[in-house]
Amino acid sequence: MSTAVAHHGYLPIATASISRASILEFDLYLRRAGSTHTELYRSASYPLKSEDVERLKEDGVDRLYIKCEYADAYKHYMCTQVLSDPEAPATARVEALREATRAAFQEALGASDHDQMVAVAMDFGGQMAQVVANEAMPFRELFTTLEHDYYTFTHVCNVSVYSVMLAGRLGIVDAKEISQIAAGGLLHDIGKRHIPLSILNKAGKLTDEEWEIIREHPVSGFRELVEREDLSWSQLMMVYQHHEKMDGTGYPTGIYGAEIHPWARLCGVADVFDALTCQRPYRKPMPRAEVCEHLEKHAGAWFDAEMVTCWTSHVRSAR
Amino acid sequence: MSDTLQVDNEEVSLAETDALVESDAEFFAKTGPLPLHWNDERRFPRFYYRSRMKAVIYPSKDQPERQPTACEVLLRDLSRGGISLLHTQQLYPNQRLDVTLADGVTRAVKVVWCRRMTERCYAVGAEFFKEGSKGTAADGAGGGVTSAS
Repeated sequence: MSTAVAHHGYLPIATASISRASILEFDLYLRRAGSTHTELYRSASYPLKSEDVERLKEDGVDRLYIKCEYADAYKHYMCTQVLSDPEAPATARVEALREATRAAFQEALGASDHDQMVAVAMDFGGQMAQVVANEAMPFRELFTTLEHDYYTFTHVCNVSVYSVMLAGRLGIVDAKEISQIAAGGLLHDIGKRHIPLSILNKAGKLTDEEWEIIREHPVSGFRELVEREDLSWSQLMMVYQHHEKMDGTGYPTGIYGAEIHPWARLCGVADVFDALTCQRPYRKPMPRAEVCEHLEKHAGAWFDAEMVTCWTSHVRSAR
Repeated sequence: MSDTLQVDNEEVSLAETDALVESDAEFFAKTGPLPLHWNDERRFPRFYYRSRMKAVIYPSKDQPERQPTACEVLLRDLSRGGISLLHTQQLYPNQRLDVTLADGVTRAVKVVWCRRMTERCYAVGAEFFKEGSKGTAADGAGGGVTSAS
């Protein structure tokens, strides 16, 4: 779904994620601008210095590639370097977690079944719960850290992080619930796997037919996951009901108010907040203040008013 | 014709539930094939088949302790692949129902979609399926309501 999907056996990783690198367990590859060819940049045995990373950043190379079979090694590297570092701040840990998950997520996207995707989400959820348990996540720094390009992984990752933050503000502190909300956020758009890329990435206005296809994703995602024993009903509702609106004008069912599961309402606020603050092919990202105004304008009618108040006050307090 | 439906062992008035978006007469008068929709990708043609229908609704995943509930629903149309019905409660995708059609045979269906029409009225699309089979009943030879297509 993303433009940064596995490319002929290679997985994209953020250049910034290896800034703490010394000797890696995997080779790094590079794709020059305008080229479809992937070339070896640095072999595993050759130490990577921080100035190398800086030079890549200066050259605008924000993505390097690793071979797909080293996805686990990359994740292990991220976890040992950053996630297990007690000195690392919450923002760095979330960033590391995101990068560690990205490669596995991209790989899971290509899989025919959803087992891999659910495993990635649950792993992510568990780690997010640990990050949150250790310290509060400062919104402003996190917002700066998160990417805002609206590629699929970026979006679901952001929605997951925002959902956890909002849940915390709403008083949900149980680690198991936080873990489930984080995993549910990562899975909430799983039904979009079935939507053609030509529609998902379309720059122009969607036709009625294309909207019909887009609107099917909560149902297809729910049907894909509902028979699983390892997902809770609340998580499934995040997948199924995150486009429902409080006044009953949402989809897929058109239920309203308290009929919509609280976690789905929470996910709906996070989903719209991220969608509007992200760069889209057809518009620039909306400033946070304007997005807050948008949420408040539709609070009560589209979104849960209490959740909107909670979220916008949190966002504004981080200015 | 009775103007009540049996839901959860309770008699619910059709008028009270607002279950019929059309009037009773209009609802039950419709017969013949359904007009094709601009984005219709259905495998089998659909036919109006307006009648009351006995159904057993199995609990959704969030209520595993509940027992299957016998009730009446309103059948709207059917095809070889599935049926569309009206019910007074929301049903979830993949939720199972056993429905007894006019031929007296009980068939298992699985909810595909559910859309709220009015207060206490939900339109539901469901596909026939065979127990123990991942595919729909219509995928197998002679499955579903073949005589209708």
